[in-house]
Amino acid sequence: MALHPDRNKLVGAAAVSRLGFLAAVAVAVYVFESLVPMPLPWARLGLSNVIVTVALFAYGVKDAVVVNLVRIVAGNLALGLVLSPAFIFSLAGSFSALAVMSLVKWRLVPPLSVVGASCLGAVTNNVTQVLVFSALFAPSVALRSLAGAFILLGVVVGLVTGFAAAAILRKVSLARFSGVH
Amino acid sequence: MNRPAFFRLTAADVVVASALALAGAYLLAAGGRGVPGDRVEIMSPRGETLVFDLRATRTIDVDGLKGTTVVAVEDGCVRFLASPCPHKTCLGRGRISQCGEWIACVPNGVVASIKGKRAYDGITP
Repeated sequence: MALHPDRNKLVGAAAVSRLGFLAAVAVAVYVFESLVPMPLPWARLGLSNVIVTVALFAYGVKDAVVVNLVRIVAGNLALGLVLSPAFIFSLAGSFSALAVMSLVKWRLVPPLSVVGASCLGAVTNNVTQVLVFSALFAPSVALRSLAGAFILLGVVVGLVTGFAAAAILRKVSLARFSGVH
Repeated sequence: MNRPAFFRLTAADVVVASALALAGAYLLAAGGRGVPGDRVEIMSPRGETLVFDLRATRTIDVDGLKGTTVVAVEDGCVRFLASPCPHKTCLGRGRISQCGEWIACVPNGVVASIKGKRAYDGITP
């Protein structure tokens, strides 16, 4: 079958539209989950990380970085929190989580699935946020119990987001291998 | 098409999730509670640290990033009385009196923590 003369352009357009779709869904979930009450004002459930995780494992680190950045910037713009402490916590936490999950993707840590990667990512995200909070606002405050609570919360949320991401990745993988895009 | 199937659960997943949960539970349990404090340290975003005895009743105005946070010390307890932050989560924390307990108003950058003879410290960067 002859290739379309503008095939490269079409592939590029498909990638951009896919990226836009993933980023839009991530922003929507990010804003929606800000409505869920949490014990600390900047804390979130982190369900929008499902989209970042899918972008990372299905398409690659560059896509995940773009989706994550758009999610944080556009989400905080919508909530009126750009450059606030919550914005800084989100940025630091989510990119540290992305770095850890990338290690799993590249097989630089033991053979974890997306569920284990998500757990590690969620806990890294939460611990980073506690450390940034401590560094910026309260260097001498005892944060052991807060860190413990955030690690436990990270494990639970990581499992939920991990299983959700695994279910989506299974569909994406089936679609790819059967030639459906 | 020999790519790793990341959606298949592995034994390493169970080990990692369990280890993290145990670490979190340990830190939570070892947080240090139940020891009454004798002073409160109030940190402002300017880098100042104000220390007050918990036995003396007083009201303290602390200048923050958005305005003034009013902190009350009474009956050996500390609470935030007023804050210019949007969510007022710091006011909702209520009273603190035990070593290691703290109240933070993140938007205004004001943190109050209880200190005592037995200092419990956790994560310090």
